[in-house]
Amino acid sequence: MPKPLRTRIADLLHSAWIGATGRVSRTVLASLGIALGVAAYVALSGIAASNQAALLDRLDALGANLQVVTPGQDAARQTIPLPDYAPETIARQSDVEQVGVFTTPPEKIQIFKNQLVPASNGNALALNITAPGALDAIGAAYAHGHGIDRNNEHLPVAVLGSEAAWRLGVTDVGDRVLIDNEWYGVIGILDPLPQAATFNTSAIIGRAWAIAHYPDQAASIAKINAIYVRTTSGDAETLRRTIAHAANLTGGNVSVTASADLSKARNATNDSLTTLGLMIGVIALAVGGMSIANMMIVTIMERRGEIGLRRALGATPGNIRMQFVTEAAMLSALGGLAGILIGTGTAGGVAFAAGQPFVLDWVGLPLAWGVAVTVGILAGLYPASRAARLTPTEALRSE
Amino acid sequence: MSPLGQPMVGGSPWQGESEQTGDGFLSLRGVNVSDPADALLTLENVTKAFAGKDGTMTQILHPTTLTIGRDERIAIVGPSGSGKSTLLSLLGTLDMPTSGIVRYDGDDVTAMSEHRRSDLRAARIGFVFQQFHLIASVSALENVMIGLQYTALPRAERRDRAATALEQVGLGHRLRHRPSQLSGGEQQRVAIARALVKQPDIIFADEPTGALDTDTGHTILNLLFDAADSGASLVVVTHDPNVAARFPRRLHIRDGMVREMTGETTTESPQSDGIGQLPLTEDAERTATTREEDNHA
Repeated sequence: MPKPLRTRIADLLHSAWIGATGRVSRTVLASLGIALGVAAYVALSGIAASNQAALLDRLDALGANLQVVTPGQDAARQTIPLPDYAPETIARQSDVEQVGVFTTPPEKIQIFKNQLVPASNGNALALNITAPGALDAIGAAYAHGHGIDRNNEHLPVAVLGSEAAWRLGVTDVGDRVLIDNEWYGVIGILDPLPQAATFNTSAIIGRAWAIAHYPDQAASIAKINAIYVRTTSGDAETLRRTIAHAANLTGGNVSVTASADLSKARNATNDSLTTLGLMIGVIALAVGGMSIANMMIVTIMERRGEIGLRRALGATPGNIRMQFVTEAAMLSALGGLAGILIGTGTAGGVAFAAGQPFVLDWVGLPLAWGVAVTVGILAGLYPASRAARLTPTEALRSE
Repeated sequence: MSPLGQPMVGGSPWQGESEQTGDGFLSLRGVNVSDPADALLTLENVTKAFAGKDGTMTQILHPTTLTIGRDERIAIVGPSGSGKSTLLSLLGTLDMPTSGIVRYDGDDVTAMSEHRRSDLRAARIGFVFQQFHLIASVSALENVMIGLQYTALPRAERRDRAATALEQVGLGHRLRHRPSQLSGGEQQRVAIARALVKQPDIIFADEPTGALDTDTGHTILNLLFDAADSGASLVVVTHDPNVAARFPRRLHIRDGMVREMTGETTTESPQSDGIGQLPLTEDAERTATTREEDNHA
């Protein structure tokens, strides 16, 4: 009657466990190579992933996923206005996350702290007119206060860019500034916006108020000056084409500016460190596999008596082979687990020390472990088949 | 005088010897060897030779025909290097003969696959070794359970049987102890428990008392007899005449020649190995010599 499969597996694992834990220090040393291999891969790919996450955060903050749509020019260098439907059609594209619309400001506007400042001291500040929520699309953060929304877009209120606030000597909300001889209450001061530097030196007011305040220029103010489009991090060139087409369905020229260099950098960072981790891991795993094979050969020489005994007790050569292959696999499985722990700890520690977000390729962990176990099985094959070839009498005689 | 025709004891080299001494086989072996149904294990013209480094064959065991019956108690004696362990390996199916046939319960072992031989050992043959061969890192109970690892029994059943076997050898209180925590005698008792746990047809013991002092050796031998009393044959290899003297049937092996021994006084024998030896018949000597020449040729 053959042994049930479950019993066979249980016996196999049990024998392997006895063998692997019989000499703890040797087991630890033999598994160390595998542990280091897995740890190298897990740690380096973890560090790479954390680095990348931090870098991507920073790139995105710099506007790697921000595109700016502005009116194009025709052959005669005449500006082709963006159609009014452009924000809606752009927003409909699948890779577009947020759209912020800025309309055309009145010309020759000057901005001062108060009327005492000479008109020649213009501060080089610009006025921007926005629909509610447009600053959010840029990814603006407020040092103080908040932005233009539906409740205040009809009121004489302004949001100041960080540089503009400094030049105007405004330190907090509630202050007033004089824009084109009209007092505006400051409701928000922006943090610096590296991704859209033009807003740093701007005062931003609501479109509804601007149209109402400059009735003679209402038509011009309603025209779209720029659309800021926040996208997912896809291929920049494809996104640009999609957005350009959506911005003017009739095929008229539009200008779509992407932070192209940043996008390239973003794509380039994806793989290099992970590849390095993988290479180091593979080398260390190969060395680890050899150290397991080496240790198994020594083990088998030392345990010839046990092999002979097991053969006398009825083990077939196949049983002996399986026992030692399982033992080698168990060594590498233990080493792999240790490596995952060490690697995860290292990656976590480094990310913590560098103040980066801790990111780990969780799918890669069982994969790395599986590879380690496979290496162990391969490493065990030759020593195990040597053990299986021993005749019972040879094996028993040797002790 | 075909050995196949006389599966029990017949054939060279001691066929003539028996005739010469006028001693019946029955009285020699203490078992009814004329009844083939009682034969557990037979060697038919079995030889064993090993190839030397220069390619020449060294004959370890000359053509041997013998039968081991059920419930027999046999001692194999002889000086070291005489081929005792080789004979035991052949009887225990651990090794295959160079020529001849080994039959277990009538089945030709030499024709069996490695797998079937392993199954045979797993289910029906028990071994006890001089060096105990216990696994140092596991308990006595686990060591005995290994004796059943290659059978189809579930683990729980193996555990129960192993505990019972250890109690049988007086180690019921030492189940959890590791070999290093046991004395030499206790370790050998664990090894005996491992052999008898499968309730074998036959137990082979290779110098079971060789590593033990006299008193402990005596106890171990008693245990082996007790174990065999549950229905197994017992074959013990020993170089100790006092041990051999306790067996009703003794095989003497010297220079690869196996002979049956008679008489009770073994220690007073003038032979250098201290074991009584019967003179070979001319016939037997000639047979052995012929085979040796064949092999050299």
